[in-house]
Amino acid sequence: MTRQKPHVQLCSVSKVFGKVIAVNDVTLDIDNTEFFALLGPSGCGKTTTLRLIAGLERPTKGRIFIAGRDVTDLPPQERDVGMVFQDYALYPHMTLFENIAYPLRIRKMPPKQIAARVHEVASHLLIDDLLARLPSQVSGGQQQRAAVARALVHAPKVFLFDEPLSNLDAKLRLEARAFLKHLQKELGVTTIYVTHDQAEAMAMADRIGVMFEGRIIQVGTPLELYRFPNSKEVAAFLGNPPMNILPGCFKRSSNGCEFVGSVFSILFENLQFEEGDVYLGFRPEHAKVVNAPSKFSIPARLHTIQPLGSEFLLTLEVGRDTISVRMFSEEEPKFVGKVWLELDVNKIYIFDKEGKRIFP
Amino acid sequence: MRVKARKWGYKLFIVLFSLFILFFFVLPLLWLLTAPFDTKATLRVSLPSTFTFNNFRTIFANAFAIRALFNSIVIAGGTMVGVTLFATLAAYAVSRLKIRGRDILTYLLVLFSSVVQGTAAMVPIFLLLYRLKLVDTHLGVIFVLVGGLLPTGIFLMRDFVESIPRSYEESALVSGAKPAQVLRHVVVPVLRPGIMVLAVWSFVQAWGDFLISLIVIRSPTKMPAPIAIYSFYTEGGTPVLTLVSAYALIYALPVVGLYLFVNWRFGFRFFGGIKGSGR
Amino acid sequence: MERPRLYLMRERTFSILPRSIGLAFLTPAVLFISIFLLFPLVWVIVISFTNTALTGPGAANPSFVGIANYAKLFIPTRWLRPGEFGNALRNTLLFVLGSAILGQVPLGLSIALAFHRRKGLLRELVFSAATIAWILPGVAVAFAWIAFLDRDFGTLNTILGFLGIPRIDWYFSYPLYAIIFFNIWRGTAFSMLLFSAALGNIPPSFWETADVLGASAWQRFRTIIFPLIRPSVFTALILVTLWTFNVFTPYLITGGGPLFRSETIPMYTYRIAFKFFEFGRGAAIAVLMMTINFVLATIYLFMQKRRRII
Repeated sequence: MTRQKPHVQLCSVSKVFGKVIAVNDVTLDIDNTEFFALLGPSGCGKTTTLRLIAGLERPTKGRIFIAGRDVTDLPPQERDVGMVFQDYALYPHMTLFENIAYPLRIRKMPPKQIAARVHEVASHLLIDDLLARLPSQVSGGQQQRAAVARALVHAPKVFLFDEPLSNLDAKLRLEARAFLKHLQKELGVTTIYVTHDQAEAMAMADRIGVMFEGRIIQVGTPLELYRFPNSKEVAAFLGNPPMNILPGCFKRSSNGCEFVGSVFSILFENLQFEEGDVYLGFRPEHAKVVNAPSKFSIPARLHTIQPLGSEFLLTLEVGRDTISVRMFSEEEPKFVGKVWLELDVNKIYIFDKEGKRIFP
Repeated sequence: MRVKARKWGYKLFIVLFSLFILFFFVLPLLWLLTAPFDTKATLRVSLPSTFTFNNFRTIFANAFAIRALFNSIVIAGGTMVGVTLFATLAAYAVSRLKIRGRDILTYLLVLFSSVVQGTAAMVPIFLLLYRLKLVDTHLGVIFVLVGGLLPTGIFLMRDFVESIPRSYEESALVSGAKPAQVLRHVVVPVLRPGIMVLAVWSFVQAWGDFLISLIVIRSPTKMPAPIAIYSFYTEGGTPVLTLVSAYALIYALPVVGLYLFVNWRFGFRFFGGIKGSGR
Repeated sequence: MERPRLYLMRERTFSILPRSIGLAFLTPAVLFISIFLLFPLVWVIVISFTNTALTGPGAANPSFVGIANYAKLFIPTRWLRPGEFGNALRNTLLFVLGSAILGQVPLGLSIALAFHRRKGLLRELVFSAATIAWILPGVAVAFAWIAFLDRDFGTLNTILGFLGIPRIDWYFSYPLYAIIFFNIWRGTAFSMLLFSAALGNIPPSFWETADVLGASAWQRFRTIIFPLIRPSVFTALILVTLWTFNVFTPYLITGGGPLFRSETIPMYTYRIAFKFFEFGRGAAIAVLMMTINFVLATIYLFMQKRRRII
C-alpha cells in the first residue's frame, strides 16, 4: 500500500529553553485528514511541540513541514493554520461575530463574503444566534465553539488544539468530544490535538503520539497503544484505572523461564529470557477475584470495594503491592479479607527493568 | 447583654469618629465653596452676604487669567499624551520582550524617580533646559514632567499589560495579523481601562504642578494657572480674595470632575497593592 | 535525514513582538528618562562640587571647589541658626516625624479599620473627602488653608473659639505645627486607601475566627491583623516619608517663615538655588537630600523584597 506524503512533518525537532530541553529530537509524520493526538503528562513537551508547529516558538534544531512546504523559518501568520487555545483567547471587546471574522478581516475579504462565511461556520457550530453577543455573555461551551469557529473560518490546512476541553465541566466535555470528532470527520482537515486526558485521546484520535519528558515514546492507533504498549510508561498512562504493575524477577528454570513475584510465580514454558529484575503488568479488566483458590490463583487481601454503578472497582493487596480489579456484576460482590486473584494469562505483559516491553 | 452594650458603644464610637474625620477633611475646603460667590469675600467661611457670580465674570473677562488656564490645559494635556503614549509602549515592550533583569531595572527607575523629585533636581533641570533653549517654553515643562512621571507610569502600566493573557496576541498572530495589527486590534482595546487610569493620573499630576513651571516659565503670557493666581494681588501685596478664591475654585474643579468620573467608572481604590504615587 | 548534534543556536522567536519593534517602543521612554531624570541626577552631583551660579564669578567660569559647598552647610557655630542648613534639617525631621510617621500613617490606618467591611453613605463621603483633599492642586489648597488658619477670620480659630480656646496666630506662633497639621490633612488619603486594600485582602474567615474566639478589638488587631498588614505598613511608612520629605506645597502657606521657623529642606534648596542663584550650593543640598531619599527608598525596597505575605 502506498502511503501518501505526510501532511505535517516534524524532522528531528528539538526545542531548548535555557538549560531545559522541552522537546527532544522529535520526528513525526501526520497524514492528511488525520486526527492526531499528542498525549502525555504535564510538562512532557506536547504543548511546546504544538506551538512549534504553529510558529509561536522556533525550533532550536530540526525542520517542520506543512503540506510539503518547509515552514520552519516562517512566522505564524504565514503558516495557514488554525489554532484553538486552552483559554479560548476570545477578544473580550469584540462580539462573537467580530472574533470569528477576525482572520478573514486580516485577509481583507470583502465584508459581504465575511458575513456569509461567518454565518456558515457559526451555524455549523450551533452558535449562529449568538453572534451579536460578547464572549462574557455566553457560556463556556459556547465560547469554546466560537474559538473553534474562528480557527476554521479561513479554511486552514491544519487545525491545532491545545487542551480545548479542559475548562469545561465533565458532562460538557463528553458532549464536546463527540461534537469535535464528528466535525473533524466532516471537514476532513488534518488535526493535531494536545491533551493530557488519555480517555479523550483514545476516544477522538485516529492515531496517538505519546510524549514523555520531551520525547515521543510511541505512536499508534488507540487500540494498538492500548493492547501493545511499548513501555511501562505508555502502559500505565492509557486506561483508567491504569494497568497494574508488579515488580519481580526472571529466573531460568529447566523447562522455561519463571517470573518470581513477591507472593506468586508464573512459569513461561519454552521461553527464554535474560535473568534479572522485571515488571509484570495486567489490566484491571483482565483479572478476576474469587473466594476459593484454583489452579492459577494468587492469594490477596481485599482492601476496598468501590461501587461505580456500571461496575465495581476492587482494590487488593498482593504481597506489598496494591492492585485494582474491575468487576462487572449486577450484585455487590461478597468478598471479605482473604481472597484469590485469577489472572487472564493470555493478557499479561512483561517489561524489563528499563520499562521496555519484552513480552508478548 | 454586656456584649451587646459593648457592640453598640463601639458602633457609636465609630460613627462619632467618622463624623469627626469627615469634618476634619471638609472644613478647610469650605472657604473655596463660599468665598468665590461673595462680593465681599473675606477669609471667613460664611454664607455669602451678597451672593454673586461677578467674581467669575471678572475672571472670565480677564484675558490673562483665561490664558493661564489655557496654558495649564496645554501643559497638563501635553504631559498626559506623552506619559500615556510612551509609558504604554514601554510597558508593553518591557512585558513582552525578553529583557534580562527587567524587574530590577523597573524598580531602580521607580527608585530614581522618587529620589530625583521636588527641588532636588531643580538646578540641573534648569541648566539643562537652558542649554536646550527650552527655558520659558511649555514644551520644556512638559518634557520635564514626562521624564519625571514615566517611571511610575511604566510601573503602573506594566501590571495592566501583564494581566493580558499572551494567548490573545498569539491567537491574533496565528489568525494572520502582523504585530502592529495585533497592537491596534487586540492589545490597545483591552488595555483601555489602564490607559484611561494612566491618562487621568498624569493629567492630574501635571495640572497641579507648581514648582517646575515656577522655575522654567518666565513670561507672563506662558504662565499656567497656579503661577498666574499670584497676580491677583493688590499693589500692597495682599491677595484680592474675591478673585483668588474664585480662580482657585475654577482651577480645582477639573480635578474634582476627573475624580468623580474615575470613581464612577472604576471605583477609586488600590487593588491590593500600590497603584499610583501621590503627594 | 542525518542526526545533527544538539547544540544551542541563538534563540530567535517570531512571537508577539519582534525585537526591533520592541526596542523602538522603548526608545522614547528611555530617551526621556535618560535626559530628564538620569542625566540631571548625575549632573547635580557634578555641579555640587563647583561654584556654578547665575551671577558673579561662578557664572562665566565655574570652577571646581571640592567639598567647599558641603562644608559650608555644616559650619558648627552657624549650623543650626535660622536660615541655615541645620535649621532646615531639624525642621524637616520634625515635619516628617509629626506629619508622616505619627500623623498620616496611623490616621490612615485608623480610618481604614473603622470603615473596614462597612459600606454606606458615610464611608463614601469620608473616603471621597480625604481623597479630594489629597488630589486637589497644591495652590488651591494652599489658599484654602491660608484662610483656614487666619488668626482673625479663619475657620479653625472659630471652631476653637466654640470650645473656649482663645485665638491663636498660627503663622506667627506655631508655623511648624501648622504645616504638620496641613500635611496630615493633605496626605492621609494615600495610607487610608492602601490599608483599605490590604485589609480587604485578609480573608473574612480570619475576622470571624477572632470573633468566635472572643478576642477584643485591640487583641484582634495586635495579634492577627497587624502581622498580616505589616508589609503595607512598611510600604506606607517609607513612601509617605519620602514624599513628605520632598513636599514643597507648605511653602505656599507659610513661605518657610516667619524667620525660617517652618523652612524645610526643599524650601531651603529652592531659596539657595533660585533666590540667590547659587547653583553649586543648591546642588550640594540637593545631593544631600537625594542621598537621604535614596537611603530611605532602599530600605523600602529591601523591606518589600524580604516580606511578602499571601
